[in-house]
Amino acid sequence: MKRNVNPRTEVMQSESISAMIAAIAQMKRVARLAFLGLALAMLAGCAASSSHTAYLSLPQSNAVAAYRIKNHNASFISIVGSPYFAGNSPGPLVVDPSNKFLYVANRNDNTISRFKIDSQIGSLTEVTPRVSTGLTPSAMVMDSAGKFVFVVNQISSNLSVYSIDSATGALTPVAGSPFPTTPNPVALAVTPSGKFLYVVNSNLALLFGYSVGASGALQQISGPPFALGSGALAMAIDPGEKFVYVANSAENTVTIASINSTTGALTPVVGSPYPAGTTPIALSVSPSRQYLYIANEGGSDVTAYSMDLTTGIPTLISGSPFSAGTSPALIVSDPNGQFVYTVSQSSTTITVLSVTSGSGVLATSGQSTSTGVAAASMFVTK
Amino acid sequence: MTIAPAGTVRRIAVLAVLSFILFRPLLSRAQQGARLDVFGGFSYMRFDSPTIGYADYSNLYGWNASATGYIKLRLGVTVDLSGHYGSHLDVYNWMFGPQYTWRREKSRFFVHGLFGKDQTRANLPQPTRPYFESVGKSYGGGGGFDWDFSPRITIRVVQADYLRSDTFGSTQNNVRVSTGVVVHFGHIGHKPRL
Repeated sequence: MKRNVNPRTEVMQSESISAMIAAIAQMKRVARLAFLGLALAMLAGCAASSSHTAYLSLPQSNAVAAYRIKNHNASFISIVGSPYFAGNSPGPLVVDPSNKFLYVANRNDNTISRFKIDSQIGSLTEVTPRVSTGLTPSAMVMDSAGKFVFVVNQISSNLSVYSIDSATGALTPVAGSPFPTTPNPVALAVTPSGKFLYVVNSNLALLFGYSVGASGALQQISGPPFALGSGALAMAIDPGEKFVYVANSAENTVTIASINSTTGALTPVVGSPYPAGTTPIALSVSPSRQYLYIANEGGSDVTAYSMDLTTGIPTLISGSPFSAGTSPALIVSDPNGQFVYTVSQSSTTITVLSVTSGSGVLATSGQSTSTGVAAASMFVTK
Repeated sequence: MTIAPAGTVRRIAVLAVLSFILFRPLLSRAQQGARLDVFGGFSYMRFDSPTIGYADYSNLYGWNASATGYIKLRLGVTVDLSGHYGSHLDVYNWMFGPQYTWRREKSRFFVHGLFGKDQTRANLPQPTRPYFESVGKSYGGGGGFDWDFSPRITIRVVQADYLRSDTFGSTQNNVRVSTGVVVHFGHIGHKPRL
């Protein structure tokens, strides 16, 4: 059967369809534009900033403060939620090499708090329960592989050693822990390889060495302890594992000793001790090993030495000592080697000093930040 | 006399209605606008999270809704709400401000200023609390481009805003981009000639 169709109706149909096709095409163009706009905005959002983190224990606040440090100018930005509550009077703190966990020793609780570090933000979340230590844990270190945590307990005069579960960060005392040491130990340091541990006894002005077994067990190094100057309070170890540095706060000197890589025995470097400023109370070795920085709390400055990495003999850097804010009590070298941070407990301020490449000369960067209350310890991540 | 079958008539009627819907805005001389525009859609925000200690900027996704009431053909007042969500971070904005709109055939361009509040929540669970939250001022502005799909329905092709917020003791410079649908209600201005 033949259907009769009005020619005018056909024209109308054709025009309407054309209009619809045109409209759809325009909508597609519009959608493309919208997609392009959103894509551009999202790409802009992907721009990454280069930074790392710093953590400071605040005993008066029973908390740990977290900051993000911009790599290019070392400006400090408080991380959201900071400070994070810890135990009673948190003091020494360390971060594992993978930057997953932070440990802080609570000096009045005789415990260690374990915090999980958010990889994106750097914020802290405490994972309970806390682990018991001896009485008044006053210093804490970790080997560079992140296998063990070592704690010196000042009042109970012993050393607690814990193995670290790399997945959960949980601490477990190693067999034999705590290990006895002499009364009133104040500081300790472990060689990066974790082979040797050294403990400062300020009252005796002696440095005791221990070899660390595969299980983390400590064995005192044979031979007499190493003699230090008066008022030894702080210690640092050369990242190359060749030298030990101790600040003698009461006699304004720094003791430098070379490490026997086999036995761990110490031998004074020729000319040691070397002069520091007034009341040297903390020290830090640059990541390059080339420079030794000593915070002089009494002089409100930093003594800087350039190190001979073969002999261990230091050379005072021209211009040293360098002004470093009010009464610096802590000093930490930034892992990128461009900055040194000093922390004043009296003015509750972190002062940023820039390091001149090639000479080690320190200069005021103009950056500083308030910690609000006095900080007891500082750790800067890579 | 030839009579068109009933199905053809129905098709023609539908096409005529569609054509009317599609072409009506072209006939408009932009002397008339809606009294009220209600917008809803998808939104992206680039949140300035390094200012609160994050390592990088945060890419947040969520929604944006607004209502613009016109007191003149081109001048209106906008109430703007949005919520954006990302890793550990939720950001809400409640704002209002003036909006100025240009209409041209099927297109309309607008700019607006926005003032209000920002609520930022960092979902970082602690033993004592599930998150940290801060509420502060939020202000900024931006604009966008709409394309008329029909007299009542408009596609918001893109709306881009710069939003400044003061939360957690610092100032954030954020960018928001939204897209979605605008529905018109009422009339303002002269009726268009058809």
